[in-house]
Amino acid sequence: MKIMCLIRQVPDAEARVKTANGTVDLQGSSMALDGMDEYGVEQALRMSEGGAGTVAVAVGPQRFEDAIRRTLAMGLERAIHIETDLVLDVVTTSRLLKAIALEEQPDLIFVGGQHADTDSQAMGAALSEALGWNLVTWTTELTLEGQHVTAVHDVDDGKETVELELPCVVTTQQGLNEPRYPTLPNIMKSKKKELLKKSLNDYGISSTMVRVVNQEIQQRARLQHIIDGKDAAAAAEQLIVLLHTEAKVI
Amino acid sequence: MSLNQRDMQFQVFEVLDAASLLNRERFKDHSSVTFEDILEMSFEFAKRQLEPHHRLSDTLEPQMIDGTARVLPEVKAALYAMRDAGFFAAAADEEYGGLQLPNLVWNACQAAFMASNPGTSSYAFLTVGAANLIRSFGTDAQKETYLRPMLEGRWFGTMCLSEPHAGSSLTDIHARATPNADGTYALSGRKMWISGGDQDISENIVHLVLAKLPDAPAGVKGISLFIVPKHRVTASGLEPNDVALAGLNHKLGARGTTNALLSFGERGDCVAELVGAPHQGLAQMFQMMNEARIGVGLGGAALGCAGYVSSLEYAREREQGRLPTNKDPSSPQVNIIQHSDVKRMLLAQKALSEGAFALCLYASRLVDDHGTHPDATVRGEAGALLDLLTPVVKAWSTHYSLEANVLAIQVLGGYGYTREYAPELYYRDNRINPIHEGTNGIQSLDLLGRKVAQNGGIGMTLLTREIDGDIKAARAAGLNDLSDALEAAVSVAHSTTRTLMGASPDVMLANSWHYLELLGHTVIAWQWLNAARVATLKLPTASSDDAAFYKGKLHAATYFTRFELPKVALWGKLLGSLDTTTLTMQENWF
Repeated sequence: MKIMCLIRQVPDAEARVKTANGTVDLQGSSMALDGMDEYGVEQALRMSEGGAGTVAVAVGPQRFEDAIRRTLAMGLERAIHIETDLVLDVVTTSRLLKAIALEEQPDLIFVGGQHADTDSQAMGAALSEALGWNLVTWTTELTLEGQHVTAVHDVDDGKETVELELPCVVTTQQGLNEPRYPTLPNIMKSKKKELLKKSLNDYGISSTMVRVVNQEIQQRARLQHIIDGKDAAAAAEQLIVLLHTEAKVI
Repeated sequence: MSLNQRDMQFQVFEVLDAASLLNRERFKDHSSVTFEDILEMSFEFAKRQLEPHHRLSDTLEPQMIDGTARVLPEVKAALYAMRDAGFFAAAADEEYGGLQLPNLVWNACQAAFMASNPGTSSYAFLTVGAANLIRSFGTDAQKETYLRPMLEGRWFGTMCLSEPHAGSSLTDIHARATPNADGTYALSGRKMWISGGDQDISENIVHLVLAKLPDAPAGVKGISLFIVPKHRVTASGLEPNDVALAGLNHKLGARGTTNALLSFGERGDCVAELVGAPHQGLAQMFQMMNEARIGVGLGGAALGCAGYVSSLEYAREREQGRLPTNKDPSSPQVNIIQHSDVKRMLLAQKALSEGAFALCLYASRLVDDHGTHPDATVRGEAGALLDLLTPVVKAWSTHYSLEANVLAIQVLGGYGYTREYAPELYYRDNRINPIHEGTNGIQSLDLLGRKVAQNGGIGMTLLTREIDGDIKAARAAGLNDLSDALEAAVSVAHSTTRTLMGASPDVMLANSWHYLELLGHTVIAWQWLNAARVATLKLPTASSDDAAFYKGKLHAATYFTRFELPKVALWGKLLGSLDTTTLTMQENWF
């Protein structure tokens, strides 16, 4: 059984991200392995014998190495880093990953269900299309018997169970598992694991089809409703409506 | 996150140069990257596993149910996760499954844990301290039986010194150990204030207990050290060892850690094993105590830093009032961080808590030098300097980090006095630190009555040599004002020490606390001078974020030197006059 985990590095959920000259400036921001990718890594570890046959694949700048090391410290066997400062579009990335998959011959590829930074959910589908493999998205449960995969995935108002055959692409979702911490011994062992460095040139890719021309960070203004409290009952009713319809906390 | 991770990196890697430890045999399997990753991991662990239940474990403190202390499931889960990640054995010998992490890096990890949740994390640190004591003085059989399960985090450890009637005065303990025919001892007595004394987390609890043998000489020289497990190891497994939980103390803070009154041998069936030679217990226990004192200082400093970070976040967001030059009431309000008095309180917190943190990590590095430096002379000198500084590390750090916590509450105004915000919790958690592991008053007596003059005053000689060397380096970096001020303080410290050493013991020790403050302020100014030197050298090539960090360090160094260090001269004048105001006060005059 060979399992490939596509991973990315994103700003930590609590990082204060700023933009400068139409580009997100990540200098000084704390970065982390994308949480959705972490579910895939954890699942790969659970489905393998002590991480045997598992490989992390990352496409991104040099700083991605921290996230890659993290997956090795969690227990993946080895890693491939396609080091580039070019921000690739999803379709180009899927072509690149297809080439890697053809080299690696995995039975299963885990892809994060949604990018924590850009909110894109397209990568899993694009890779499945490029490879012509089965796909299951937003997976919250996964079992494997021989070549046969049973997966539970979220739909709008519930969940459904699907069956598919290997090889396949699985995109992850919160609830799939509880990712482990790297243990201190594994952190030390991870330094001796293989981290293969490659470039886009190695796969004949030199450009991207979509160019980012401007980036902005969504600003959320406080609504600051003031409720007239002269009629307590009416105020309470109004508050309940606001909490339900605007704050969406009840 | 409760601690500033950037400051941690600054202290560990830039000031104390953790990478220079890598050429030592004990740390040869590590690298700078593993140090960084392990520190990063400890911050993440603290954020995910410890912070979330900090308030909950304060609100729902442990309860005694059916003779056992019951703790929250969240506390257990966090400690199991800490165990599974390998933190219990992080600094232990490879022989016992450890990773041989340097004390400097391990203590930095501990600081992240203690700032996030001292109540939960204390169980682990108590266990590691107890395990170290067994490693140093235990027999091979004791190591085999107790050490490995403790370092695996399956069994926890405690230290049992105080009794209901004997806290600081261990001379007067009543606990007795009577020899059994098989070489073990029957132990009886009560022990008070036992952190982690009982809990339902670990499979077993290994108590390290001070007690007296029947033929013991009077005084502290008649105290022996014993291993007393809650459940003793027999051929058929673990069996109760007649250690009863007599009650739980309900505390102001650090409530996640149980604090117990334990009763040993009520049924005459409490089996104990002697550790090391008879009557050497206190000296042996002091190894654990000295480690624990650095840990307590570090815990205090970490909570001081946590309060600073928390109040800084609040001050950056809370809008209130306008600056004195703005007379337009319709103009927008400013964030309170723009008010000078709020900046004063934040600067004071930064100077006190980060200064204490720097000293605690410096002491942690001395532990590494004492234990692992290839040159025996350097090892000896590090030990002597550590001996001198340990009471300062413990007492100054806990006293002034608590002062920082008071200011953190003040920055938040009325909100600071509520349980909606963290500073009051940090304050209550931190309030134990000036009290336990030897009160700060005891630390000052230890410093002035013992450590300063110990071995011909070698500690003070070495301290002066180190400070002088760093002043020269700071002058080379252009930090003349800070260097001049520190040099003057060192001179006051020396003259005051000489004067006090010539006085009668009663007069000399009457104002020992202020002597500790005098020496402590001098030592903290030294730490700030070193931080300022590193910041000055790094500033020209720093990124914009790093440049702001280094400028903050320089400004805090200046604050400490201008606002705090001048107190050394005042204390020097008071102590130099051999003032007897406190000594001559009579009980019935109060």
